[in-house]
Amino acid sequence: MRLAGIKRPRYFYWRLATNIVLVAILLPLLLVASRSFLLDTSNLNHIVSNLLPLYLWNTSILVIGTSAITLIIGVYTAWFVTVYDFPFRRQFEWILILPLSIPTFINAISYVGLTDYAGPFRIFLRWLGTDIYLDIMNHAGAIFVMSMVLYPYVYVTSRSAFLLQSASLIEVSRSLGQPMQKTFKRVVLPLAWPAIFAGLILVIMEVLNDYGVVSYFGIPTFTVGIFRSWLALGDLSTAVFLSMIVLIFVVVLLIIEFKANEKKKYAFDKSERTFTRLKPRRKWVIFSLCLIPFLIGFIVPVCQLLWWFFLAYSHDVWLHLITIAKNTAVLGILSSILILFLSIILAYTFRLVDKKGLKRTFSKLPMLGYAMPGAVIAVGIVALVLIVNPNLIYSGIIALVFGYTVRFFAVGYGSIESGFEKISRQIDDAAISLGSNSLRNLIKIHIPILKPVLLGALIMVFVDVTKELPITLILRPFNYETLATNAFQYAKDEMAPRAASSSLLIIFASAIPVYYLNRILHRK
Amino acid sequence: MNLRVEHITKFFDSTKVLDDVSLEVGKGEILSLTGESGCGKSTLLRIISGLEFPDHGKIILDQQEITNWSPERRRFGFVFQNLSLFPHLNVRENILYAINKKSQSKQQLEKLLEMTGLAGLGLRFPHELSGGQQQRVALARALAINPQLLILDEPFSSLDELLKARIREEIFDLLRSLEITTILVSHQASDAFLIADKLVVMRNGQIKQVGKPSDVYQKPVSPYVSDFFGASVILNGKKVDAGVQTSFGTLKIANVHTDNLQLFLRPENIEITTSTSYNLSGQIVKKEFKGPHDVLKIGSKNSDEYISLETERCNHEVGEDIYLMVPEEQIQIFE
Repeated sequence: MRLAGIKRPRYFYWRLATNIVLVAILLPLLLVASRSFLLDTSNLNHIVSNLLPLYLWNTSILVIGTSAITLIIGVYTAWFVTVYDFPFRRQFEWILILPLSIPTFINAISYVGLTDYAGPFRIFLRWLGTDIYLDIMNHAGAIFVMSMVLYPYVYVTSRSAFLLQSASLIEVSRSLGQPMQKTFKRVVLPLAWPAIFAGLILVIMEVLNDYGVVSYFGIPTFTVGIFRSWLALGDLSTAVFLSMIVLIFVVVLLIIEFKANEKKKYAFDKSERTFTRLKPRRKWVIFSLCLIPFLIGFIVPVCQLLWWFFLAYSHDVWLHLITIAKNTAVLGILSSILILFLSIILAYTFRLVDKKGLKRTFSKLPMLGYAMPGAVIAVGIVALVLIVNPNLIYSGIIALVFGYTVRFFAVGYGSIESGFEKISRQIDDAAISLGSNSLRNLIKIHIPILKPVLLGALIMVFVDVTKELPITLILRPFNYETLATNAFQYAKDEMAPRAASSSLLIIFASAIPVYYLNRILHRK
Repeated sequence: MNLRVEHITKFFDSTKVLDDVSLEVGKGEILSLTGESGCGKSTLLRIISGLEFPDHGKIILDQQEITNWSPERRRFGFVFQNLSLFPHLNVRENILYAINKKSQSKQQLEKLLEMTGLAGLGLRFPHELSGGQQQRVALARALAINPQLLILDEPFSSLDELLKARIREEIFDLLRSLEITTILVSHQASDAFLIADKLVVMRNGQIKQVGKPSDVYQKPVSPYVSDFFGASVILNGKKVDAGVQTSFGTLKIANVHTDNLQLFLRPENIEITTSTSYNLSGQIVKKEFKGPHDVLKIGSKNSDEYISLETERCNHEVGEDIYLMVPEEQIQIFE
């Protein structure tokens, strides 16, 4: 019912801007989806009968293997750190997240270096008077290398789920005569499962997104297929077809996650948490179990890189490094500022107009890009660029920034949106009652309040761009190098030691948001 | 079943939260642990149940020391303040959670559901139950392990006032009929009065008084204890030849050993009268209407000391001089 003469503000410009942003961000994905109806079917037979089973098999093995290992390591470390009292427990809380700062392909480069003939592991073995041929460039190796730096996704989500559960649930179970292990199995795990699963989905998406490890190890997965068909064969149709399959898989995953979260959400009382004491021997067992993933996932690869760095240290490396670091920084800054700007428009519009029904769904749509493998987004953007300018062979850095924006929009938007939600709506009402308009409110009130959130979002996006490989490889202008492509190229060219400096820079930059992540975890 | 707590001391960092606490609960006895929040009663409870370990002292169950036993080994039924029902399990599963033998389970479950008035609700989930029903599930679950000792930590705090009185009575009747040894923690005196065989008052990590509820009420050992269990009148007194002199007059009390002391009375033991034959006198300085009764504030004529008394509707007015009849045998002296 609308009363005569009373009209609610429509916020026309805000809505217009939001619609444009939404369309722009979803366009590459829509293009992939729509192009699949106009496929050039000449190669399709060959792909379906010869390549598809291979891609499917390899991708599945990696997804299943990595899921299993990250699930085990992520959940048990989160559980130990949450309930047991053991040496350096407080430090482990955040140390265990550190492996996340190492991109999978950089971890792969270090471990290949570590285990090859001239690597320290084999040198040590020969010093002992023996030697074994250790080949990690296969499925098992890829699973190992990826799991050791991806488990923190499961660790972080499990831990926040464990922290959210009331400690008294565990205590009541124990007072009912159930020991810790049984309590974990019957109470803690079933309640934490949706959150653990959310972390697992992030892992699976990273595996699907990965191009660096699989191409370095020579394992043809879907991503490799997409790259090959576009970059080597210039066959956009096949690239789109393969992207479409991955897209469907990701959408199915997202639906499963949505369904899992839809189930009863339990509200828990916060109660004082106490740490269970352990006998001295068990204390150190648990300490070791937590130390191992950190050693393997962070210390060992970083040491290997440092060793290489000192081996390959020379002047021209530095000059070159400055150029590519500058390139990376420019891309990171442009993309993060753009994402910040667009996120603010979107989040603010959805604050002004009530999020209900369809609009609620719309407000979540731009998150989709983060779930999509970089290669799929890149293919969508290539398709878009070719529509705009069919003669263009290589795109400029605009396409690259666009690609990053689509892929990492969720990173910035997610935190900005939840930041907005924490500001009381009464503040808006108060400002309007004082005669201010919506734009002035945003600039004078919301943005100053959100400053720390915006800074955090900026850093997170910047780091993700720094680590990004597949989009960069497909969309970069000719001879335009970033830290990630530089490291990857050296590794592919069997000059791994020279990849060390870029890799270390990426790891250094990526370790910053780990600090942020830990703080967020503690605030909850 | 006899539980003895001997000289328990517990530190959190450098704060002493329990200071040489000892107490005993006999078979079938219901002990009520009271004190304001932060007095250490919850910590003591957690130590008794094994969720926390003391820095000094012992817990002894029937001559056997159990201080270092894990909570699962002790099997004391524990009803938590927030109930802590398992949200992903229904009522039956919650109650059966601790019953390992399938064969007994069905019979026992039916008995427990019947006993706690939950018959027919077995398939509901905790969030589908009312506060009172959740309360009963928590109790049934704790009883399912046939506990030697039942521990209830502020069990009624999550219920609203109306419901509370009813549920409390039901649960207390059940506990009485089961003759189960119980420790009940409450910061409300009324819980303790209603059920406890033995009342323990704690403050700042120490036990201040142990006794039957009526004794603790009428003969508190300190002003703190007297205030905790209801309205009290405390007068400052001075030893004189005739007895004890207060600002309201002199009372004939012998056997006083110190010069300055405090006299404690429950207000319901004081009678107001206009007859001049009583030795305490004062002036009404304020009269407040409180519904079923009035509250009179009676000031001393010699000092600014005053006492507040609840009276039935009375005809006395502000400014009037009145006399107080005080039965001397009811007076408790804090020296």
